[in-house]
Amino acid sequence: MVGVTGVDHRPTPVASALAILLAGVSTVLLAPGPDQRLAVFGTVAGVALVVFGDRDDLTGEYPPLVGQAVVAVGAIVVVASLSHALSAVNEFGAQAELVPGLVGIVCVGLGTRPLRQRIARRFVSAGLAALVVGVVLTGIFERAEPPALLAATAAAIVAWDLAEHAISLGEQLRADARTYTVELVHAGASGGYGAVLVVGALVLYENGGTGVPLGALALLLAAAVTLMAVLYR
Amino acid sequence: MTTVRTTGRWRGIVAVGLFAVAVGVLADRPAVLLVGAVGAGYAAYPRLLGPPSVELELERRLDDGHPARGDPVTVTTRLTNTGDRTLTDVRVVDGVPPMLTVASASPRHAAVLRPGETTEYTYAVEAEHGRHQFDPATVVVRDVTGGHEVETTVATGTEIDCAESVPSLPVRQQTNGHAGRLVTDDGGSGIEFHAVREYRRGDPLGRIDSKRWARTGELTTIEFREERRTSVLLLVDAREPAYRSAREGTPNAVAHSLAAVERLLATLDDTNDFVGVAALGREFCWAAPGVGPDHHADLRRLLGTHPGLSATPPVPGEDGDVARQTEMLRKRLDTDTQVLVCSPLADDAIVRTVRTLEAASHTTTVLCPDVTADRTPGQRLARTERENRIHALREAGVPVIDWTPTESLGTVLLGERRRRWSA
Repeated sequence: MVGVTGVDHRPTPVASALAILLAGVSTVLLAPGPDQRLAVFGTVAGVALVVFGDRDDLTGEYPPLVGQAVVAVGAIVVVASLSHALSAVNEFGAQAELVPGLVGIVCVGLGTRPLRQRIARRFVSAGLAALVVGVVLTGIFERAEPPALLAATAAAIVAWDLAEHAISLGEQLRADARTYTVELVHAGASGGYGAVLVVGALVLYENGGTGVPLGALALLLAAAVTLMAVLYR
Repeated sequence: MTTVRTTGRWRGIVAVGLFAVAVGVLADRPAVLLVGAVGAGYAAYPRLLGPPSVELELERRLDDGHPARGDPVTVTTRLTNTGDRTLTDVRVVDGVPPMLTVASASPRHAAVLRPGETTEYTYAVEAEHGRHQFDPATVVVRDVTGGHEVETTVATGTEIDCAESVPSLPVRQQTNGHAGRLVTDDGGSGIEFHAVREYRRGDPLGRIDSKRWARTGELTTIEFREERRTSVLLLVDAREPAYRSAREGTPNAVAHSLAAVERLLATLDDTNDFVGVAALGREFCWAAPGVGPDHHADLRRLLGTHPGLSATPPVPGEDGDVARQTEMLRKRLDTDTQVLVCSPLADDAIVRTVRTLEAASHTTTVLCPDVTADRTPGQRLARTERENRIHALREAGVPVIDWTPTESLGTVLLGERRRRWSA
């Protein structure tokens, strides 16, 4: 139970956990090797310990020292996973698809912990940027098929969306309010829309896209994206 | 009051799309280009839906509307979606009265509401003395993408009445000639013996001292102290400087003043004293002294709804001109109305107001809630300044009741009464 005296504006737990999980999924989709997987699982587990280890609203009441110890263990696990990623995975391409993803997971985690209330959103955005860089690098080195690339992108964007949602709910309602239904519905909608986008893009790519030269397709897409950017003004 | 906003939270995703498209073209990778399509799809996501149409109804129940001080009161708030669209992200912050603290659980809640569906949540507040009106609940509704946000308030009248008997109003010797409960030094009809004087033609027969007449044959008349009623104006200082509190999260001086006014009004319910309410601040607020249950109900409504008495402080510069408001007040006051000023005495302008009123022969008393602290040099300076102002007013013959809000107002007033300046 959160004390009445301390106002707790931390991001809400359900969406935070899903965000970290999806950041991990996004990276695993790109980096399926056994060593890479180990690194991703280790990072996700460690980040989860760091984020939730000392949240007394979730874990119940135990001495603050125990919470700090759990966070410290989580931090050690994260560092170990990162060093494992750098040492055990030797090939440059394999590292290029893995390391940005791990950095992204850590950033999303630091944003939802949050390290600092005021820059929580920046951390989450940095996490999304790192995840997208990972996707693009994987695409450049052609180390994954289009379905994996698209799904990883969608997962990264939904992870960012959920982390931001958790932060906004935490700001407006504080972490002691009951918010999980709203978080789950939001996650379902964003995830479902992502699935539709991925499937739609793949169907177009497999069936319609073959005859169109890359330059024309690029121009079309650039036009569409610019239109979006202009519409936002 | 409803505001519709676009949150712009998906704006950054445009960059993801553009980045992927640029890299895809430069590196000649169709798959990366395809990633841009997902980015563009998410950038268009908030455009798919418009702002939600919000129709909500609020219902609030208390397990005890008349608690004792310190008792937890369980508040059950029910929010119903009366519209015909599903609201996927409804965030409610209940309007807990500013003087009350939440004892357990949270007055904040989030829910998904289908048409006709109701969400219910409970929390507890700790009762404080006074009558506490719940503010309207603030509701923020987002569409499922989070791209649009509608902020609105849903009101329902609920109040917690934690009665405290204030022994009497701190009034001074000034009356308006009508019969009432204030015992005066004027002789006349009444209960308490005042004087014996020579008989004058027209004195009522019953007041002739018959024993003395029988003994000496001399006609004398007994006089009693006259009991008259007073006319009091309760003046609340609600200017920006008065919105001070001792600590973050504790009620400010205006909230304390309003609570005191509510309690004094409750005391006056049983008497036939004239009472009015006025406030200085954003807007000049005025309700002329009157009597009767209807008048009291009007005053309570005014205290609860007047924009100048809002719980949120005005922005600096929003206040009206104090000197002008004082002048308006002085013109409207009857000469026999006395004024009780509720003010933390946070600046010199209010001291000038009190002196102006006193100089215009309105008997004035100040009730000064103490919201100063002593943690920083600035706070200590403010405390000393307040003490100096109290001292200056007392020097000028204006009684000042120094009220520490943790103490019961009734106890403080009883203590003051013992010091004999009040009736």
